[in-house]
Amino acid sequence: MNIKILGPGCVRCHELERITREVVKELSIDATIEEVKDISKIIAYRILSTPGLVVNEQLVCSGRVPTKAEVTQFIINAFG
Amino acid sequence: MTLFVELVKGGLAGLQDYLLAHALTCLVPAFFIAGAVYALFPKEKILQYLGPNSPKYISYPMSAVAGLCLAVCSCTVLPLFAGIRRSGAGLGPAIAFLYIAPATNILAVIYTGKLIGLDFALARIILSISFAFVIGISMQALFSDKAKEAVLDPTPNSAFAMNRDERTSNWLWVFFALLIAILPWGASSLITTTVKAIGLGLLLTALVIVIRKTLSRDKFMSWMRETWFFVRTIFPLLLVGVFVAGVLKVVIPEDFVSRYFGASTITATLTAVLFGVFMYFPTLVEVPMARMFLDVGMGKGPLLAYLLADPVISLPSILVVRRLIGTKRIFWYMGIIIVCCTLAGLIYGFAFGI
Repeated sequence: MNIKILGPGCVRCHELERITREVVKELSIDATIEEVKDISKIIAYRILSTPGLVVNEQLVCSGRVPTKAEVTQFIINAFG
Repeated sequence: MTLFVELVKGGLAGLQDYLLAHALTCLVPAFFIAGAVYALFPKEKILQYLGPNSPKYISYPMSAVAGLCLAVCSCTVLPLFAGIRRSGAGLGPAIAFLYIAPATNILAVIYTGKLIGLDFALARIILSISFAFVIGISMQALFSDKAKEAVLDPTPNSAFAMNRDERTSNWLWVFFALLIAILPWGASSLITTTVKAIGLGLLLTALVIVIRKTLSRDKFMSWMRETWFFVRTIFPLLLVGVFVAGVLKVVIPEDFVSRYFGASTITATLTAVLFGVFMYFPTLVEVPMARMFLDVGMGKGPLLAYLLADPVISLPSILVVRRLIGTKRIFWYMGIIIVCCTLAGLIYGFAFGI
């Protein structure tokens, strides 16, 4: 599973990354978490507002920091 | 040893004067407002008006609305700018938004109003929006190459099209109106305390009723989370900044400041602007710093110039924007901002006699 955190490096993006890492650890899944800080790469995902969460190249959340429960759900959905 | 004590006393006095005494009562509602706007304001609805098919008389005012309502910290503005450009927004409205967003940061404007004066806060908003239009229109006229403006996104307006079906309840606007109304009502010194208390009670009851009507539990929690997020990221730095402002007040010699910056001369105003351009302060800290400069003798003209320039230009954001719009445009962007802010300071100082 490939997970990307879109954001130029602000506090929200770090928060999203932290939550995502926690969820991945708790679910014990094999996932790579990548931070995308380059603006041109970020907007390639058609995102309007960072931070953004991309799971297996699909943008699942943008513009806010989702709760841990939401991130868990996103990741579980990606398996289906 | 005594010097150290003096500095610490200065810092504590700064905390008292610039933060605790009055500003706290307006900062608390301000954070709630910022949180509500960030969590609940329908971003896509506004941004769709910045698209390539919007006529100028809609896209520019909408860029002002977007700038006022959409972002508090520069880290959100830059991706938004990149996103709307990529989705086809004209260079002019996009640049106007880029300028207005940090310049009219809700928290900073409210804090400015309380700490320095309502006239300053209003000047900050009105002048920022006017300059933004000037900058946007001039850049579009000078640099917009029709061929290059080809939309990179194969499905134009895609970012704008997202969520367009979500209907915005009218009650949401009532909610915002009430929430924002609490601030001037609570802060005003024109009303007697009893009237104020009754009024506040009524406003808060109305607010609670409207909240129950419009906000789902999720949205309400989202609002609370965003508010807390702003508090937790901005407030600690603000405490430090205010303390430092207090220390500086003790250290900076008053006669130096009043002699060189007391009057609205071109050199004083220009230096103030350049100081704002090259000096970086965390969000909100530029306000108590400005108040401190005022206290040690800076004239209102140069001060306004500084306050207009500081939030908008910081080296990191300039570098990022440069990658999006090119070096040639960046020089013009910075140049015209410096000129506008200096002019604003001079006009304000001239008009108000300092």
